[in-house]
Amino acid sequence: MSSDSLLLLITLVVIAAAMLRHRDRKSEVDCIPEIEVAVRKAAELNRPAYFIPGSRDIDNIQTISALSMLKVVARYCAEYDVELIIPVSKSMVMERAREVCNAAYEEAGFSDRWSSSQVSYTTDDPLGFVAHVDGMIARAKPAVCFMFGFFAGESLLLAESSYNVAEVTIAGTAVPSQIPFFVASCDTTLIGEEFFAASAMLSGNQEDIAMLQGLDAGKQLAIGIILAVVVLSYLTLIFKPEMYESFLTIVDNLLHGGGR
Amino acid sequence: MRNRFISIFTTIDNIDRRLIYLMLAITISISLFADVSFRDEPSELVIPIFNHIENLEPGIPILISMEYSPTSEPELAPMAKAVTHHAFLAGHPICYMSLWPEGGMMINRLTDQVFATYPDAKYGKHWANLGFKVGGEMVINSMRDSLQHIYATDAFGTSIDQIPLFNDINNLSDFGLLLSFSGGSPGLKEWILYAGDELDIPLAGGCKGVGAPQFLPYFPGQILGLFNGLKGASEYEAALINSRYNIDADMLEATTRMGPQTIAHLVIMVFLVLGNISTLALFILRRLR
Amino acid sequence: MKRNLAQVVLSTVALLIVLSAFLPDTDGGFSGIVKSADSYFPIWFSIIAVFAFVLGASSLIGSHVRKIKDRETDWQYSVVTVLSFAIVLIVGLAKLGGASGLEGDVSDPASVLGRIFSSVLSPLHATLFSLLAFYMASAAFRSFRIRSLETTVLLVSASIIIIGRLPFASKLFSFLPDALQWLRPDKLSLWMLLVPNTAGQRAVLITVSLGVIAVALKYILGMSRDMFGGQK
Repeated sequence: MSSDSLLLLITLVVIAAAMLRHRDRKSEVDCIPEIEVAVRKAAELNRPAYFIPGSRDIDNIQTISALSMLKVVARYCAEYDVELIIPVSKSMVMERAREVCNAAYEEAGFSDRWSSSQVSYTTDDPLGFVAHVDGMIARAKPAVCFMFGFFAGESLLLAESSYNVAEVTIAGTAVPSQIPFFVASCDTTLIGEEFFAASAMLSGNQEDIAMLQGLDAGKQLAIGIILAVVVLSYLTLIFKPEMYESFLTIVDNLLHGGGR
Repeated sequence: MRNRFISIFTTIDNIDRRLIYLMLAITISISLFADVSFRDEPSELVIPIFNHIENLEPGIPILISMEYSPTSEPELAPMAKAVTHHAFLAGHPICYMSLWPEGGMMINRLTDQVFATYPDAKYGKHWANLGFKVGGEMVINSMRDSLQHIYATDAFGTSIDQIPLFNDINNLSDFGLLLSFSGGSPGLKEWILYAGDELDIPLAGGCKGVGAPQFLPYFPGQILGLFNGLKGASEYEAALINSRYNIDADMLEATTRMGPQTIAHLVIMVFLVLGNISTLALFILRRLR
Repeated sequence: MKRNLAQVVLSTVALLIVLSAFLPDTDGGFSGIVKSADSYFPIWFSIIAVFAFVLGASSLIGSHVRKIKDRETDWQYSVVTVLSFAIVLIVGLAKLGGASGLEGDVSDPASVLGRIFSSVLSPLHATLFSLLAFYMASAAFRSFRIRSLETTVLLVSASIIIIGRLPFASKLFSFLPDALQWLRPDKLSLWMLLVPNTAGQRAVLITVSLGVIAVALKYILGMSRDMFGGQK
């Protein structure tokens, strides 16, 4: 096994171990309050809420996390009697979103407030999807727009259209290049792994909290490795400067599996 | 008097976004019609790519993978064109391919335009088109081992055994430089992960201006250089103009297109200054009360 | 029972995919079987996605036909949608103007579908994408203000990058003495992109990758309540 594969395996084992070990711990994190506040605002204004679960299919982990967020939003919408509209760009996401919302409305005890036609599919083409959703948003004037999941060039087109009509816009994505657009246009933005963490925090399940602890363990491992390499490279530079280049080559080979 | 100022600055502070759109549309249109252009200078992001092609022995082929669609064509096509001009003039055969379905059309548009200006350029000798192949990173993985394994024919159905350009090419390692002009995924990132990191071949690429921050972490370790949006292409064109080649500046698109983009940047800066003056003025005027 | 079966399928497939990343590239034996299974999964997903498209298309047509029948608000747009859908579907299935038969290339540029693609879809895409320039300007005007420390940092960095990307940026501050040449906006903007931006991007990349691993493990280890319909 190459050294980069070994590093990946260690990371996997550390995260999995942390998740399984902390499974029964009590949750120390509360729900993110902005989402409930936004849905309450929509109820006060008697205007709908829009939820856009990204533009990728169900095989994308960000779409799966977005659907976890959808469950929480749907529960709030059911409780506050806010019409929830979910435009999607993939048919498998449409089916899954319907199941998630159905379960959320049932759990909240308001299944009569839910209709599967609230989830609508338009096209797989991201720009065609944006054109459709922008049109829907401009006509329906929702009070709140949630944008969670994987977005590419369509992020700013959706965020600006939402900002122009909605009272509150909340976004979350782990796509680094799209984060600045959401930060500039939305009221609240969940950045990178914050987005994954938020879906777990909001659910409040012990299993999801365990995931957060796994994530923390992974971060500790990453920080440990980075610090160790930095400290060792400085020590080499100070005490054995002639070995500095060889040290860097060894590190490079280790991280790239010796393939370069 | 103070109230009058407050009212003026509040109006500027809350300027209708449609006015910003209108101002941008007017200034960009005028600069397009007036043919406004500015000469750029090569930056340290494109100079390594230019120098690498210059230092390659003539005859060594270059692979250009075009992962973009009409959406990002205005920003990415000028990069591919500039490199095509350079590679042809420096005597390097060019092989085009794409991991995007729309890429085939983009290759045809580009080669039709560029090679029309070189009457002695011959298909199969100076350039070849492998077209689009489905599979994303799987295609790159297969090309690492064997080109013939994944491409039996070129984009026009000719067996690649009958194309002279491929006589000495067995896999990716036989190219002197890999370039990916990428508007999304699969694209440059996949080329870095599955070709550049795995084989010891020089790799470079280009991306949209908004995508550059995503690729800069790979420079200069994993990529030789990067065309950072339209400006990257215009910098490369500047390097070409300053070089030993007698190239007609009219053939270079990015320098011309940078004119309207520069004007748009200046308009945005004017609005930023206006917005901040009004914010500061309102802050001071309200404190004076 | 239904849930358990789905979980078993999920965990088995996911573990095989993960395992294939750690096994050597060989044709035979256990490693060969795992590698070959791994190469089939994306194809299976594509096949399932094709069937799912029928669901999506029927939902799209169903909702728009209902809108037209009930003469709901803006029903005229629905007529355009249904007509466009029907035309493109017929033209594509019949391969009008292009090579016919099962082997015929659907994306042949000379076919009617190819022409629709290059004359209708491409300009529409380019138009929509060009809206970004306008939206960026309005978002920048609104967000880059001296209101708080964060927005001021945004303003300063954005201004340096915008000025640094002007073609004449290097000449703007050429009067600076050699010792202060690093203050030139083109140099500063490149430094900002290569140093602070790269540091931030790497941090986001590393944490996002860890987040992806953690979320994936949650589902692989069967620790999720909501993956298969809500109830555990």
